[in-house]
Amino acid sequence: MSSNRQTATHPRGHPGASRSSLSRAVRITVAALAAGLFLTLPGYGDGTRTVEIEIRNGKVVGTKSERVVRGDTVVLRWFSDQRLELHLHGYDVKTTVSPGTPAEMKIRARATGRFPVEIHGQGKSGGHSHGHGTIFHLEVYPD
Amino acid sequence: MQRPLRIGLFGLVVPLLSRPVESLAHGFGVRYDLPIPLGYYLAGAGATVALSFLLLAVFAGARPERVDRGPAYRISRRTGRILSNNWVAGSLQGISVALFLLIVAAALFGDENPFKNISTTFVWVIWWVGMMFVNTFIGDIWALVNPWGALFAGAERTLRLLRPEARLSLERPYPERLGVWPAVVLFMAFAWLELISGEGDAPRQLAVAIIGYSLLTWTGMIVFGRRTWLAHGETFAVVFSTFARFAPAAFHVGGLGGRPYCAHGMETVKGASIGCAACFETAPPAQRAVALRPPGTGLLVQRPVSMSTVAMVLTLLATVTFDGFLATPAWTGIHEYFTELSQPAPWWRAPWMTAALNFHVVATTLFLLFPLGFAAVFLACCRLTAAVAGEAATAKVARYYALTLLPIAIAYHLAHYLIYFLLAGQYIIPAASDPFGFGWDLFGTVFYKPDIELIDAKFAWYTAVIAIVTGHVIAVYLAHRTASRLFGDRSRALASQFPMLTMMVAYTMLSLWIIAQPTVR
Repeated sequence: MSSNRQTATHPRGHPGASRSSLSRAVRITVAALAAGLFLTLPGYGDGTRTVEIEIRNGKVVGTKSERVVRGDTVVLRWFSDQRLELHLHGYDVKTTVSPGTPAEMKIRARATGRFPVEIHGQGKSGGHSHGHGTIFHLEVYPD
Repeated sequence: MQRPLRIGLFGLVVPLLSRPVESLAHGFGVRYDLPIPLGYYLAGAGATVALSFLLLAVFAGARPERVDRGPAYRISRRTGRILSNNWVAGSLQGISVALFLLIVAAALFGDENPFKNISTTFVWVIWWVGMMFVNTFIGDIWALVNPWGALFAGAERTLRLLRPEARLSLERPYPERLGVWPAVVLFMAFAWLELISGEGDAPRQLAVAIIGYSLLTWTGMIVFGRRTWLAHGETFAVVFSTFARFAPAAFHVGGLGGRPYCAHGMETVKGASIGCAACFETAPPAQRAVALRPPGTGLLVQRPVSMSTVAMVLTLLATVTFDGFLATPAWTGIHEYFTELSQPAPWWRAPWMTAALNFHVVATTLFLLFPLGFAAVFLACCRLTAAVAGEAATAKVARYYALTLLPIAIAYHLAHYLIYFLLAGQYIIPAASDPFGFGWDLFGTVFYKPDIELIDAKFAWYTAVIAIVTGHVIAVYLAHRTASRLFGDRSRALASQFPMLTMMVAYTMLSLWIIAQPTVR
């Protein structure tokens, strides 16, 4: 199974604030709460989302789409048991993944839509072209 | 792996059809639409039902029907003069013919990658979707620029210059009962190429289809005459002019007296043919004008259309819906049912039954069943309408009502294709600089990348739902007008509307349901 892990970054507190231990404690607490909020409400705000996707035998294991919200920074981290060329359409990002060497696609999700990830260079003649070679969809929703 | 069976238009299975494997993996189906969320779907569905009943209440409460004088329009003689000006018409056709030749040349000799060849973007996005929008929302521009007609007319003129007594066309009498059936059959072939074959994306296959279709069209023109074939057999002329009946502008040629139909099969209104390109072309300049009318009112017919036109309309509705249906999980379910049966029939798993052929068989069967299903439902509805109204024959009802369904199909078409047109259409910008993929840069735009932020998903959702609800309201209104005309008695007219209204609500719901489906394509 693939594990979809989310991580979030959050801007630091004001640098010029008081140095008393109380205010530092408050700042840390606020930062921790905010970070927790980002983790429990994935996809809202300008967070970074890292999605780990495993490909086995040319097929994605587990869910074949990921929903994010416009404004997110999205990292698609690919694992595969064979060497594959991947292409995220629309955003037009390409990467090559090999066994033991994960590959990353990093985008800032500015445009909404449903963007297919295709395996390129697969020379199979497979009839209809609808979604042929598409293994995954990145869905960017408006906020 | 066995190669799938390939059938070009009209069985043109020739060596040209050798498959460019790499480029096909791309496909030209660049669609980034998100399905509309549940809330939008429910709002659209609710509005559809509520407005339907509201309209019925308005119709019921309206004053006793005045005599329906038919669609109101204003006549612009100046527009007619401009359009029939030799320079205007000539340059429009010249541009069109030049583009046509460019597309054929690019499809034949250009790069086989559909993204590096102007022909695919131009044919499927700019022309097929764009021309449809232009004809639907402006007027029958296709009739003015049709390159097949223009090239044939040019050949006719040239021949007349060389040998004044010779004629290019045999002008054989066209069998009246064939109606527009040739166009219906050819349109099915075209839709099959677009939706199912998966071959339309490849420039070479496109070239074969265009050349094959051109030869067929010119054969039809040679046998029956150019205008006759344009009115009955050239499927794009027939399809686009059917959509143009919705448009706010139409050709108007007066002075026909009391004849119910013009010489080309279009009905006449007050002694004038409306929307007939052939009449417009042959009439004396003083008679040529353009009628301006509220959008949609051109779908109200004074006299019944032919049964073949009914078939044309139903085929248009069915294929537009089928297109959307192919992207739903329901279709995937049907496909999987036939491909992943635990105990498949031996013939179904025969060695020649490849996955691709399997797809073709299942999809083609469904593709053929869709228009039949639509026809069955529509005719049953007409039968009910006739029964409730207690007068007209089923066929007569069908021939009066068929066009009133068109706004729902137009609205669905808009919802389905607008975003595709605006996003995929941008590929024409780099392609214009390098139409053949030879590495040119004519306009300095070859590195242009489509702006995928152009259209926001929310805008797309609102447009889709508003378009579909508006199309439905127009259709219900047109059906009401038709009922009033057919069954003068007000209570009968009102009662007769229920079957048609129910069907329209169902069809609109189907459209909404399809765009709300999680796309699987």
